[in-house]
Amino acid sequence: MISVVGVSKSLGQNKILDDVNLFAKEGAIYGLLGPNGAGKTTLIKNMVGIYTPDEGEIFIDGQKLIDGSSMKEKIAYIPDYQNFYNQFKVKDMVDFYRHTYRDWNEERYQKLKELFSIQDQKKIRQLSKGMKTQLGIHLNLSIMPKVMVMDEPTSGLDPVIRREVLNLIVQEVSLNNTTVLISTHNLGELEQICDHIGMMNKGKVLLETNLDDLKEKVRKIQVAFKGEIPKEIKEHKDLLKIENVGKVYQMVVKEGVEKVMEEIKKYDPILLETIDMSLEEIFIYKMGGEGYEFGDFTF
Amino acid sequence: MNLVTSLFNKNLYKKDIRLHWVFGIVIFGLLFLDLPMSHIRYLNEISKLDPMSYQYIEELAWRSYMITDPIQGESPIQFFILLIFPIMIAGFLLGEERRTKTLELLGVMPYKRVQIYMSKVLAGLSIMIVPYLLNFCITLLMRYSIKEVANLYGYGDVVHWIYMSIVPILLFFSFSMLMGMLVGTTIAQVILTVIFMFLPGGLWGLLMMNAEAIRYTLAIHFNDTFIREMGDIVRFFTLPLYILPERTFHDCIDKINLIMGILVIASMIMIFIGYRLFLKNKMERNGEILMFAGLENFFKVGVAICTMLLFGPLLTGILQINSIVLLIIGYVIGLGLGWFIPNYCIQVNRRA
Amino acid sequence: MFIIDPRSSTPIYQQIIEGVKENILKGLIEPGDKMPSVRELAKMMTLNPNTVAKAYQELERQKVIETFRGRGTFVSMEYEAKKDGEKMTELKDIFKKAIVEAYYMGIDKKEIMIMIDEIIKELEGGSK
Repeated sequence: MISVVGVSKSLGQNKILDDVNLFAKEGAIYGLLGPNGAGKTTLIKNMVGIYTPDEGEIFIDGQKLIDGSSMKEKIAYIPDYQNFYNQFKVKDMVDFYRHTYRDWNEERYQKLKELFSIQDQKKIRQLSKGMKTQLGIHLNLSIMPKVMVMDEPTSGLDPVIRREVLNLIVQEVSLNNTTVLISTHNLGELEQICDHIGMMNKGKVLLETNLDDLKEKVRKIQVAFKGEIPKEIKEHKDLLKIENVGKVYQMVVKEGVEKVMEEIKKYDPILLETIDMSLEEIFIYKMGGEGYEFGDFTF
Repeated sequence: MNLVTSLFNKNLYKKDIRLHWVFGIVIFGLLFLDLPMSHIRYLNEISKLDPMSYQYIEELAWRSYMITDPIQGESPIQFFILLIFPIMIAGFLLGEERRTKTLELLGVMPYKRVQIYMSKVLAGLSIMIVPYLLNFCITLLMRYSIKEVANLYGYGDVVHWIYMSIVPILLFFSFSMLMGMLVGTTIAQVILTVIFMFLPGGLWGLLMMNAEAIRYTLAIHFNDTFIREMGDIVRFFTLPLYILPERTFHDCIDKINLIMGILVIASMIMIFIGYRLFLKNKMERNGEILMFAGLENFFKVGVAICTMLLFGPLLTGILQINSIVLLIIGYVIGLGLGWFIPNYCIQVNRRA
Repeated sequence: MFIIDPRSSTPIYQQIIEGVKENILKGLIEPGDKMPSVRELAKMMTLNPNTVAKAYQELERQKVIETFRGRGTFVSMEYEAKKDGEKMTELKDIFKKAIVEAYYMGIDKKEIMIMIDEIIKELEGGSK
């Protein structure tokens, strides 16, 4: 599992992470969402031991990642831009990993070769970004990790490989109860395999929740009144957004949909129900509530 | 055994060798041209001589420089090797890993920082020293098998050669690695290492120049023997001078072994300090010119002082005007350039 | 087996539950048939195994499926259709929506009843 407690981190003069708390339990597939610049990559680099937090602590399976910690044997890190030794051939890089990790599984490496067919003799500098990512995933799965941290792992991969990678992640979790954290912009993938999500913006984790709970509890309110919509409802303090087509209003509220509905009932609406919100909408409005501003843009 | 494995790592050592062995090949080639090949060239030259002529012995004698010079380390090729390779290899070992972010990869892997560092030190030294050892063996072999050179030098001379070559390599390399802990980019590391190696002597030279300039412009005569005396001490700290220790330290030639021994100890101390600094290096500063933010002001002040001392006499020297005002103008220009140019470089590098 | 829409606002585990039930109703899987294990289903459909496990747990609670140690998970021999109060209200809401839609389109009560008959025939026709 991954446990981030009160972590703050500045890069130069800029405070990138501000009192971040995050928890991913064992066997969870945790999706980290957030706009660019929210601090996701910095948080991830702190998690895998590249950066050291200025404040706070990070525990992987209960252990802190100190210099040369043996916990690093069980951490797989797949960054958005995979950095290998450009002068090496693929087989040199494989050899390097093979002798670095105590739990390297040669059998698994060979089996996965059926899927990731990248020639051994090719030089790393000849590989495209997608191929480097594939190699990274191939290598990292072969080290038998307990924790996998992935920063935009599927960007740059073609749809076929993408599907295979997601499937491998799912199988990995099934087999070994691996904890997986994926930072991604791809909501489709997120909804496909993640069971928990965390939303980050401006260096803070705004929301951490079970995905099923999010879908069941965060909904839009659709309401219509016989006459004019009451002012108290139109200008409700918890309102994030309100739109209407004719008499039917759709409201996005910050929290406590039930509470707002109870208040609306007092005004005797002719229509009152909750309707679906897509994850995109949820994301946009949750961020919007925290200053991820944009208005209605029209050319 | 445990101590060894906790300090080094075979896999990391292999990796660094694999990345940079080409330097070793080049060094080997250059040394081979200089020593073993000089034997071939010598034999070639003397085969053209007429053993019957009166000047035969003389001709033989004056051509002996072809072999004795390289053995004594007095060869441009060897100066080149000693000056360029330790610095360059240290630059590549550190700067390139930072630039390509593979150092981050190592940071995620279960290696200790000390292992990463010491494996690089060992790899760098191996790449430089092995070519010397090989050529040492080849030269001994040639000395043994070629009778024409038997009276030019002895086996002891070859031993002296290798030992006098390895000490500067060790010294320059450990100094470069130390600099590499303070400076982040390959280019900056190489440039600053060269500058700092020449710095003590260079500064002394600047002080002498300024003393001259002040004397001329103010037409005062002050006793600058203390500056000259400083020169005696300063030369021990100006590292490149150790390429030719017999020349620069001819007055203490009897203590040369002591000096070499001290240099070896100094190198080991520098390697240790480099290791401690490496532990404190922050990954997020990979790619910055200075690895420690606190160095920025110190660095700018240092550069400013040097350029100040340079520009003052430079201005009066070029324009040939003995005016104190001009000297001061030169100082001010120097100060300004020395402050703003490094500042600019740091910013530009950061934005890149 | 059944289609999962990850983008839907219905949680995936819910979709699995409904999918399994529908397949049973359609006769695609029968009481006593072996179900894929959690791991197998997760692999087949690229789904989070925890999500699949959650669905299976609920299906077991509802006695739609049962697990025998060492043998696997099977469709229950006796799936009791139970009228769950809360589910009834939900169902009524769903009907209401559909009927409002239909009325709005101008479909009258008679046509609605015909449609319902057709659908039930289709479902029942499948399970033989």
